[in-house]
Amino acid sequence: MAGLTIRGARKDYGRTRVLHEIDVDVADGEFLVLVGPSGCGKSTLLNMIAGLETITEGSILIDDVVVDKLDPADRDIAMVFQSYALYPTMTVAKNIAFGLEMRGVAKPERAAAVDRVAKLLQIEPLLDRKPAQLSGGQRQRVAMGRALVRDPKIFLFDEPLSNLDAKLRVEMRTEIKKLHARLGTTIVYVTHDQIEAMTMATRIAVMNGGYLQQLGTPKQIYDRPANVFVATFMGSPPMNLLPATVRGSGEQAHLEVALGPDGVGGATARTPLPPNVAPDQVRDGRAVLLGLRPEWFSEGATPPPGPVWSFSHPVEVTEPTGPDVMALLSFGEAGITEHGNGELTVRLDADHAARPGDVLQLHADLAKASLFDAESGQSLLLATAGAAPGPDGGEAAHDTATAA
Amino acid sequence: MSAGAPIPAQPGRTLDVAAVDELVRRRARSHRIGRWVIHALLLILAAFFLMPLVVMVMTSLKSMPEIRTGTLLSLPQAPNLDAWRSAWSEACISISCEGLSGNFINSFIIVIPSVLLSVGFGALNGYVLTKWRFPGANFVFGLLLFGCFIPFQIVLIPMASTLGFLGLSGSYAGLVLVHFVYGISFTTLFFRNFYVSVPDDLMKSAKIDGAGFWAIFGRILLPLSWPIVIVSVIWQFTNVWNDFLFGVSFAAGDAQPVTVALNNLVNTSTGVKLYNVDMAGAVIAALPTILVYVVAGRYFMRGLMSGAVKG
Repeated sequence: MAGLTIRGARKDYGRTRVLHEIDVDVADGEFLVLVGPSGCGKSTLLNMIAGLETITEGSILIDDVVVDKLDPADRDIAMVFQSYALYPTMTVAKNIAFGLEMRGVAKPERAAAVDRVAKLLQIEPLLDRKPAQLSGGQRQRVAMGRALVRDPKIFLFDEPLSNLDAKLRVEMRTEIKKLHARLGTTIVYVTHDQIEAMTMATRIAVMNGGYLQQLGTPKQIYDRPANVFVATFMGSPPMNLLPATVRGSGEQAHLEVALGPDGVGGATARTPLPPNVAPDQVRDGRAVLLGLRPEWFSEGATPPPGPVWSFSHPVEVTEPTGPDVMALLSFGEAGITEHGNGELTVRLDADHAARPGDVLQLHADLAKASLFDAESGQSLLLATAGAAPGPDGGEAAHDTATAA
Repeated sequence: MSAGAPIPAQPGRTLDVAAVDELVRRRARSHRIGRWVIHALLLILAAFFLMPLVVMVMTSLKSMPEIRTGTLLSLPQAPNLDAWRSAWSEACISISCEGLSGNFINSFIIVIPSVLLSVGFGALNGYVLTKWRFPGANFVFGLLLFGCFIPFQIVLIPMASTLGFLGLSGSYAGLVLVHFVYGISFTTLFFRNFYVSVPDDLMKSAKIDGAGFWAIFGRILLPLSWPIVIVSVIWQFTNVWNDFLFGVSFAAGDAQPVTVALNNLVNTSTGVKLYNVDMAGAVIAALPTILVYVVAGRYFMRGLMSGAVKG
């Protein structure tokens, strides 16, 4: 069983702290994706796991063994690089076999291992070529072959698909996922592409500014983001964050959402609280952000069952994407915060005939809705999985945890 | 403008078939003229630079009477290799009359180890300065660079006392050491700048594959360094071969390189000046460097350019 444990890992470059107390536990056979914008520290963390960067504080365990002081070669890991890092003067076969050769594996065994991997990745005809004679997709395969051949405990992928064109990227994505299903080896995969993260991971670690923002399954991350960063980073288009205020308390508590001058029936709308909000977070007058993904809205005269917020609003512009139509609704100045541009994006059916100016009767599914503290950006829902304190300490997150 | 409407012709700019033909012809003609001018210029320049070599070779093939009567550029009437033979094995240099052959071999004895050592250590230095960076690596590199700008003359006296201290004065080994030390600044500069462009991911990948310091150097970096190896070899070979000052200062008698012997041959002040022998000697002394350029020159250009453009 080859699990990976990262305990309070910190990284400083001189006085700059690039990673703050990262704690991650990865079970054997998991596909962990580290995702975040560039400069969030995800590649640094991967290099620390690989042993290519030192750990300032904390430790990393592979298979319950502390590997902090071990050389990369002794950690039994293999890595695929964004640039593929194929040895330019060696043939594909030599590239794949190099790691085995350095470990003193005998020649016939090396050849057998190369053949096995070449068959697995369907690169047999390429074995005698040099890397310069390969296309991007083929190089990618060879780089994976080089990692696979050693049968390591953990695979590390550093943005391996970002140098491929869009079509190939989607193909390789599926292929890596299939490979993982087949081999069952633990994978740690770094990407800045949230779609890659969502599609491949068994668990996602969202990072920003050197902090682990949230660690959870793709569904947890998507449906129950721990804070506004995760809410807006994951998903395309991102989660809508509507400024609102808590009014009343106890059973009477509800939200007052600012609709802006275009709002039908007033500049604010009254809605029930999302049912998952932690009761101790409900304080009269608290400024919050109501988080609603575009596809959590339905449109029509009759609201669907369950807790909903129904309201009417004019369409500003529509964007057909093929499978659906995105309708943008303007909430004016009232909707502009540091997390939103005053627009609400709503997903409609592809054949919806909405035109700019039409007033839509919308129903937001509050059972799914998120609620964030407007100031700290932390989720106010009950038991948000994997919530980690963000850069601002996160009193709210702490409260949530206690409430859970 | 509605779709399908004809595009209005601009007044005075209508193009008929004849006018287009004329335009194409004119373009082609000016292109041809430009080509001719370029080629003519190149030929003239090539002739200009080749002239000294041509004069040297032609003079070396003439006899002394012919040299006295003919002009510098006249073709040899009865080309013969007497002067070459003389310069190689008979001409008197100071007191011994054995030609340049011994010194020619001396030069090789000095050049080959100097080039191998300075290129080898330059590669190693470049590797360490780029791929195994240590605190102060840039400072060390700066100091090494400084070595490129120290004029030969400045180091003569300290070098002489160093060689004396090491007991290497007047020996081949002493001269090799001088050239090795002097060359290492340049070769380090070459290799460092080359290795800077080698992606660090290769290093990371090799480390994960289990390769150590020497395995990475020997198996991954050196095999892709041939352009810069050739540049360094040519650079060092020409510099060491053509060196006169260190040769004349640090090599005594039998260990003198060919450049020093050539100087002594040409400057012999007794008797008649044998221009044909002087010229043959000069060509002999220059031959190895010419050969190196002819054989490896195209790699030299490629090597100098590498790293300038990605890929």
